[in-house]
Amino acid sequence: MKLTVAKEQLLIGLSAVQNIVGSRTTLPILANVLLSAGDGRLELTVTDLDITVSCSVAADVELSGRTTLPVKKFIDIARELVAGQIAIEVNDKSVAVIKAGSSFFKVNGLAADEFPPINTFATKKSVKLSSDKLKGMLRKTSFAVSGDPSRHQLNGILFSLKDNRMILVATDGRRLALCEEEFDLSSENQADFIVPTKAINEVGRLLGTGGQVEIQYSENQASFKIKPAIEGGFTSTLMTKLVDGSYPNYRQVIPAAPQERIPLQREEFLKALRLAEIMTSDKQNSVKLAFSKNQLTITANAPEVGEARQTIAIKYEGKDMAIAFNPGYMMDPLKAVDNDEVYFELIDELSPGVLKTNEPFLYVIMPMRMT
Amino acid sequence: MNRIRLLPEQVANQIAAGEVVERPASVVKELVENALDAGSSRITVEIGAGGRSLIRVVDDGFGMSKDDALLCLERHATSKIRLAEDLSFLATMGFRGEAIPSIASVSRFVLTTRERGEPSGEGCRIIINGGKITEVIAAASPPGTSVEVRQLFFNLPARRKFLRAEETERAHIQQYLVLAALAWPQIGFTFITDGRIGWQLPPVAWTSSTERSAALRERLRQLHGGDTPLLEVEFSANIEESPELTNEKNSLLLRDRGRLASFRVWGFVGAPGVSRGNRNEQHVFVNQRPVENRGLNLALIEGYHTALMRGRYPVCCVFLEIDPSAVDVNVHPQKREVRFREETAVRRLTATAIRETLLRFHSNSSTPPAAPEISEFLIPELQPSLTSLEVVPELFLSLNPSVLTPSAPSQNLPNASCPVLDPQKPAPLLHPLPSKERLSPEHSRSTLSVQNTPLVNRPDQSSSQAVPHFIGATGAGIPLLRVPLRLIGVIGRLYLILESDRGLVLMDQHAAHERVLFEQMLQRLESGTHCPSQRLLLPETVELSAKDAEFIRRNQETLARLGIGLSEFGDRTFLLDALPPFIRGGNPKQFTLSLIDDLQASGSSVNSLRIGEDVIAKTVCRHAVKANDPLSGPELENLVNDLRRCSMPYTCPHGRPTLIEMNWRDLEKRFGRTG
Repeated sequence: MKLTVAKEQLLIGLSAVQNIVGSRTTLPILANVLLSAGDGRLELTVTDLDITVSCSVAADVELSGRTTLPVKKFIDIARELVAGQIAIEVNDKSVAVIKAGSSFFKVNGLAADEFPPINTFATKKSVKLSSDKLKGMLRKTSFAVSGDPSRHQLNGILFSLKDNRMILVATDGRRLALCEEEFDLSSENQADFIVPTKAINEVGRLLGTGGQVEIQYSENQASFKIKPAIEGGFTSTLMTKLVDGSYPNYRQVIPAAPQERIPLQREEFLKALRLAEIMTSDKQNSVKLAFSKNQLTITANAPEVGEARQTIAIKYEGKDMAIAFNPGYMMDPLKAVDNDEVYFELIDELSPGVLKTNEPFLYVIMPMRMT
Repeated sequence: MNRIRLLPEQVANQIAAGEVVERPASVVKELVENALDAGSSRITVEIGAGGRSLIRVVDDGFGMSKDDALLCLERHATSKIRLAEDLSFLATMGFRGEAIPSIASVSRFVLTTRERGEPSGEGCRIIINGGKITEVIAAASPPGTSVEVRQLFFNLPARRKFLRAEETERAHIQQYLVLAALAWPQIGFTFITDGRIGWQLPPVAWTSSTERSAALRERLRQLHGGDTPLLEVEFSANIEESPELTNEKNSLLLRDRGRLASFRVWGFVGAPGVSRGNRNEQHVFVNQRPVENRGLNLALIEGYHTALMRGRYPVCCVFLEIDPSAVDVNVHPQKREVRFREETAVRRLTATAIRETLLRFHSNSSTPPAAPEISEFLIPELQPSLTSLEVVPELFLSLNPSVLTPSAPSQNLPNASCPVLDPQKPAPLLHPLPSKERLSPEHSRSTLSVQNTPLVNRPDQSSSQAVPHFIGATGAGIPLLRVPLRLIGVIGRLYLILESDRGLVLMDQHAAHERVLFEQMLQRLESGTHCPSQRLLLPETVELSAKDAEFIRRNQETLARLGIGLSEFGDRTFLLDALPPFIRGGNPKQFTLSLIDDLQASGSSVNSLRIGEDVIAKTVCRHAVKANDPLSGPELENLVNDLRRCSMPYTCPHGRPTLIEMNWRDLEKRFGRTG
């Protein structure tokens, strides 16, 4: 294998894959990046056996071939080199010689055959959508993902592709975020699958502005192929195992008939919550929302800290109502959406509250019982 | 042909022996209990070959006439009860009338007895061989009864095979005798193994209850040595009066019957930090009867709570005195188990008794010892300023070797401006240290020796894991944090070195701070009665066993107060739909089960903090100062003062000790100044 690659191209490729490499692994090959050169491109692949990320960048390939190199060393070299063009040559002993300007490196790699084989898909179900759209949907849902390992099926986002719609759902058992997109979907491409949190975070990082994503999925794995907006840019692919198990029936927890629908100014509401949250403590982390005629009073009261009261003017004609929430749960969606106005739907003080925007976004939050 | 036949009496006796006589220790137990019931003042137990070849129990009790002696060999012949009702008011150890015939049927048995006050001075001897009376002769005998059991199980090879090594059987016998000796300090015990005197305990007479606990202390000292710091427990309550119980149907029943069960706990428990890796030194007696009861074991641990590390067991000798009618001993043939009519209340009260003792140890104990005049006040040469100390603690120590030597406080040294942390006044000030001569012998004995000296007569030497934490004083002594402490410095950026009037004190800054934060946090959180509760979006179903389900159903109110929503969802299925916000659900089934355990352990009076205490302890551990965190003078002083204000200052929330004490005598011994 012999090639020359521009420094910035190599860095793009390496930074796309570097997050997957674990620092502690019992399999040395997992700390290496697989390089495969051919057809004017250099493909870099890294796997942790659950998630595989590869990124293809433009390169001047003289002799195609495959090898692996330790990621951390390779990144350090690429980052520190001064010269713009980097020449890489690998012999059959998997020793790479890296030359750039006046620098010379000899890096011991491992044979490409040792790299875990990359699974291929049995069935090819796929959908395509724009990168921006997917990025927005992930942002509006990923904050609600559960980190509790004992309920592993909640440790990811549900992708539900049905009835010409793509729905993303995340919940941790105390709140639930749902984002929906109309979609032309052929019947054979319908499916429900759960993408694990780590893969979601990586996809979110890889998604640039513009461009397209192709999502392929089968029973137990999915891949996100991210294509650049401009010709000749780098493409990256993330392949992940899916979370086993069935997602809870989220439809069931969405309250059907709200009693009140209250429009709120997002920024103002968020600010008021932020201020009130200051006066909560680890253990008394609740804020009370008291709705009265055209006024919302947000209070926080932690005996050991003190108390806070925020009043904002709202449009409200219904009966007086007070309901308590975890302020963090309340603020997360307000930070994730960018609409100016949000709608808060309530039934009574013990029933779940629902936050909506003008877009197909919905957030269910369970109240806290205060006695 | 009849297939069912009546068994000959001897076979019946052998079967009964299977229940009562499990091993030589059970023979000793039955015979010693008879001796106790006979009002003896001295009991001698002699065994040979671990009780296999010989068990002889000699007492100086009432004795028996010849007729009684013959009758006692019949089954269900007893002097201890007459009617079934008597079972509810048992004041004697035995009552079944089974032991003697059962033992006689599986051994070569010789009973020699003379009734006390028998004018002729002639006793009688009965020789029985495997249940058959072979000889009844007149014999000279001192008043009292002597029972000799030879070749136990000679006619039951199956049983004999199950006997363990001599050493093990001997240990079991000794274990029982320790218990009996603790329960009856007024009786002298002599234990002879294979012709050698194992121990000889003189009777310790008592008449009042204070004398009684002094007698028990003396017995404990005779048996275990006096170096474990123990606290005296004294707690009485009336079971019926507890308000928490009003909604439990059992107590209503009791009330309807107009009964009033009096309840008293007394004895000794290890000071905070004293523990063992097994239950060998955890002695519990109910009405002077040594018992095993799971509920009581849990109650003890609950009483210690954070003063005990997980997986460690208390060292204690606790007597429960309860109305005989409120306890059923007729559960186990060897009476090893008891059942309480008011199990929950007994558990709760026992735990309270222990907890209060431990709390009192620190908070309520006497003021510091009367301080001598300032003019007499002598403290060793003092170091430079504390701040410089902080920077180079090791250097300081090497510069001032005198600090670590037990410089006798009677030397005349110039007063230096060193901070002495006084328990009463928060501001550091000079506090007189009593001169050594003034310390009572009680005092110098009070603290522990450094060596883990194996306790005398410990039944199971191999598992001797007693961890002497050098805390506190034996009962009457003054708790360490009640005496003035002078801060000397910090070593290893972790251990504070302090000087008390008794010697050297080491303090773990992390453990101490953890305890301070833990109690502060609990206090803050305890202020609210009801806990907020975060409702769950996806309720989880939990399936429980019938027993647990019943428990949850009965405790719905408590659960609601704790902010836990477990609503019924079928017969044994519950829906977990709300949790206090600081509790992370995890596995709902596991959570519910551990919740049930916690509730059962601590009774319905718990608050949600008890459930979330693990979380709190963990948080606290994160926030507390760590090893290597350099603390400066005022911070250290404040830490010691804060620790003094804690209710359980001697252990961190995980039960590890915060303080270690070495007294002057130990130091002197180590430096070869005294023998």
